[in-house]
Amino acid sequence: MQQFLKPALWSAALVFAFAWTQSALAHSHEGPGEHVQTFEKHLDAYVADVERLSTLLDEIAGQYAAEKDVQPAIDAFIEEWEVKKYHEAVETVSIPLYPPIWAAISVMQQAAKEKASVREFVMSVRGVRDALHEGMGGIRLAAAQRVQGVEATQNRAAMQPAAGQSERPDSQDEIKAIKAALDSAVEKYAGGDAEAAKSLIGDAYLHRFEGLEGDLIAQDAELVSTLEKEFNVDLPVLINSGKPQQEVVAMVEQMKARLDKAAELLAGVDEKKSSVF
Amino acid sequence: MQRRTLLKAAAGIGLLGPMALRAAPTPVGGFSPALSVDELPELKGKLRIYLGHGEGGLYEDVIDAIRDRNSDLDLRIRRAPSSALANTLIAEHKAGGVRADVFWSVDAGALAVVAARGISRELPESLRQQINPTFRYPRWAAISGRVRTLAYNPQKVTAQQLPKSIMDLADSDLKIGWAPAYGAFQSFVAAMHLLEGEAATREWLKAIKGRARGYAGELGVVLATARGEVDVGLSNHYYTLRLKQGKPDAAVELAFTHNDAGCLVNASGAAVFSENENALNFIRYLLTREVQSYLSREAFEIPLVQDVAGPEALPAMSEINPPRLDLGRLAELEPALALMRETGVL
Repeated sequence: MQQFLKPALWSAALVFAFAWTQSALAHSHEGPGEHVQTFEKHLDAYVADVERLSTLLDEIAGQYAAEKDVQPAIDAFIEEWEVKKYHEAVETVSIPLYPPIWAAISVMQQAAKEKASVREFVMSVRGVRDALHEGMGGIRLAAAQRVQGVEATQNRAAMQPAAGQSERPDSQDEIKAIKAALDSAVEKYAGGDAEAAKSLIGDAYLHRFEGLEGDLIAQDAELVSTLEKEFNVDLPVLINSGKPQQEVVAMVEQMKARLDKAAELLAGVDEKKSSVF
Repeated sequence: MQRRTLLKAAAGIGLLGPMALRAAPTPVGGFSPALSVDELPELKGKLRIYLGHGEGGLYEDVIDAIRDRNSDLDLRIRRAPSSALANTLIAEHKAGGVRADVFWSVDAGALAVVAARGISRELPESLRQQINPTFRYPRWAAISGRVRTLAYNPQKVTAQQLPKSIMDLADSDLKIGWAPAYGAFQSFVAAMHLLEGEAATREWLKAIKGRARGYAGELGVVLATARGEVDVGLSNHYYTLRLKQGKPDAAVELAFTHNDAGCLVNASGAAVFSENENALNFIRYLLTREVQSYLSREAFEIPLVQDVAGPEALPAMSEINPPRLDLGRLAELEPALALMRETGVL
């Protein structure tokens, strides 16, 4: 099962279900610290954490090149990563970018264990560093959205009470959040950041829309199928193709209209469901 | 329990087809009746669950109900795709400690990955005895099942015209719909690879690719079948049942191949990682008659305990004939994905 963590399988997983590997953790298990509640004010601290972790990574790479046993250094790196404020912030604010950091760490560990070439090992270390920086980018994005008054589309935990109790999101709120995410994706695309745009779209589908599908299929299966295709194929293809912004906007507006219809259909569905107990 | 009694009990819930009955090993310890939630202790204190995305959010209803029933339960949920959570659990284990008490996954493969590494705890026999013997594993509990189907349009093709073997579908002249990028489809190809071998799977993929129409997801496949765009679609059973729930007159019916990957029964499941007694009891809640009935009724999932009826519109498993396959092996997706890429399916 070791290959479960190898980059080849991560690549395959990207195909596996469109954006499914844009994995996310929607809730902090122990509840975020206070700094996470106001994460947009702590960016400098998080950047410092990333820089510190990057320094440790440089040391690990150097030790490996010097043919030293790097496992103790990797263990120390993990210990430090676990207690950093940045760790908690990326876990709760930049949700989709948290598991890839762990995955990159595992790849690095595996490379050391398998005594990979120095070049391969350095590549794996670079993967961790890149993942850390991408996580930081996600936090910055969420901070920008919050500052602009837009609910951070990936951030549910930060909106939760500090205890981290995970309440099930209301379907109407979910639809609003999906539409906000699509608007944010358009902004990102207009700003030249196609990857961030696709990430927002993938997250909105995976972490919000998919949770509504079970109730919605019986109401209007065609609507679900159409939206599923638009989230996973049509809109990403437009972005990948570098189509003019107005084409992307038109697609998003079309999707938002369908989402409005979905919201209407979902209103009152819960009352019609039988109870579990 | 005597073997005869055991088999009767197993067949009684319709989950053991003829082949399964022949092939099933005698389970140790029998097959206990499902409990009612009223027989379970109240859950108090903390419980951390890693919840795999899927099933259209219907698992959330179950969690909400358990939370509502146990007012002193401090339930904390981490949500993500099952594969990502498996990787997180492995990473946490390597880092010195898994944080989850329970991992509830829609995908048996993700559970098998953590179980194979010894990260999850062995389940007590008393709990395992509540699960259908065909779906018992030492380190994770199967919760509910889903079966691969041939969804067909009865206005375009009759059930008699459909092949009894998924491999024979390649030799038919039927118009086929599929969703190769969908996780459930890829698990199906992995099952075919395990059951039929690499060469046969390669040839099957090549042959089907020549005539298949691709869709983004398996709901799309079923809808296309109902519209008559294709004669038959490859999908999990519940998409058709959910569609028919909303549109009873939709032109799509279910058929099943025999004892091959085309009628594979896969399962969702849960694993335990801590000594927190709430963890095992949470799984016991999932295996109660009430939760199993709800998953059958609302999510169209196949119950895996005694005396709970499957979805009304789904034939009893005794009328199907699923292959026997260690579901944990479906985690080995890489060979199947490689074949799919090699043949241009992906």
